[in-house]
Amino acid sequence: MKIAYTIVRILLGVLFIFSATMLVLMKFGVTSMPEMPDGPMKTFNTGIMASVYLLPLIKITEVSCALAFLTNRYVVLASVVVCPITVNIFLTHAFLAPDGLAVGAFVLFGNLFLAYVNREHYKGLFVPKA
Amino acid sequence: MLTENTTKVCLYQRLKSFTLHLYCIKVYFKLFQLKTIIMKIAYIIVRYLLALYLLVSCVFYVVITAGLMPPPPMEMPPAMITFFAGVTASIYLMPLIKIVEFISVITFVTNRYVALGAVILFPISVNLFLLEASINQKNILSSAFIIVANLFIAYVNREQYKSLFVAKP
Repeated sequence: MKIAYTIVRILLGVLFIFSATMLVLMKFGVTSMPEMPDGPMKTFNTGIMASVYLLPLIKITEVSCALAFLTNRYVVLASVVVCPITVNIFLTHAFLAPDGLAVGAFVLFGNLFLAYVNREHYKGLFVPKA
Repeated sequence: MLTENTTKVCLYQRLKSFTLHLYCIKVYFKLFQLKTIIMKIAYIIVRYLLALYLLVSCVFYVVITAGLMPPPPMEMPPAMITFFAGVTASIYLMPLIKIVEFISVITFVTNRYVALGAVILFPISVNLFLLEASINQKNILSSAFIIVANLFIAYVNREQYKSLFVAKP
């Protein structure tokens, strides 16, 4: 269990940092943006680009959570903070790009696994009356 | 004679300062009580207002998607139109947002699991606020209300989030 926890933590951290680095490289024109075929995925991406704030917000959140996962500090908090992002990665892949579904599923279930390992810490949230 | 007098004065002053002290404690306690009462009332009002606002938006969404009502004509900047086209293209996103909003409305109205409702609503309110702030500044007030109300509800229940902020589990 402990070994699986460490492996999932580090894989998730590396994955998030890798995707953020790719985006930064594309931004500065080091690598080129992959061409996307027309379709709902392209419309979705243009929509995200149109809302200036969204991609930087996602990437900043991912990198800070990746740092938490890699250093093994504040993992409890980081797995809550990154949860909305992983849910959306998984659902986007499921609905729009099924060929990347494996990565999306790994990200979502890895995140849920980290939360499950630390489940004792979430008990405070599941109290009906404060 | 003199020493006796000074002791008397001293005693008197001590007594005075002691009563003053008691009085201060009493006033402080009253103010504290007042503060908690105001907090409690504000908490109830904010919870119901936020729930009402979100519920109305959910109902409008359902009515419009079911085709019972034409969408109201809105003046949107072109970036907003592109963004909404993208959101609609990803089939799942709007229903997900509305379901999450509806769940947190239920927690706010019934006053059960409010801490959880505030957490699951938070990503939505952050995104609403930043979206309005970056491309449609005209409607920023309503989304600012949502995020402030959400943060206030989380602040009232802050005790429940303490276990999240541990460095080493």
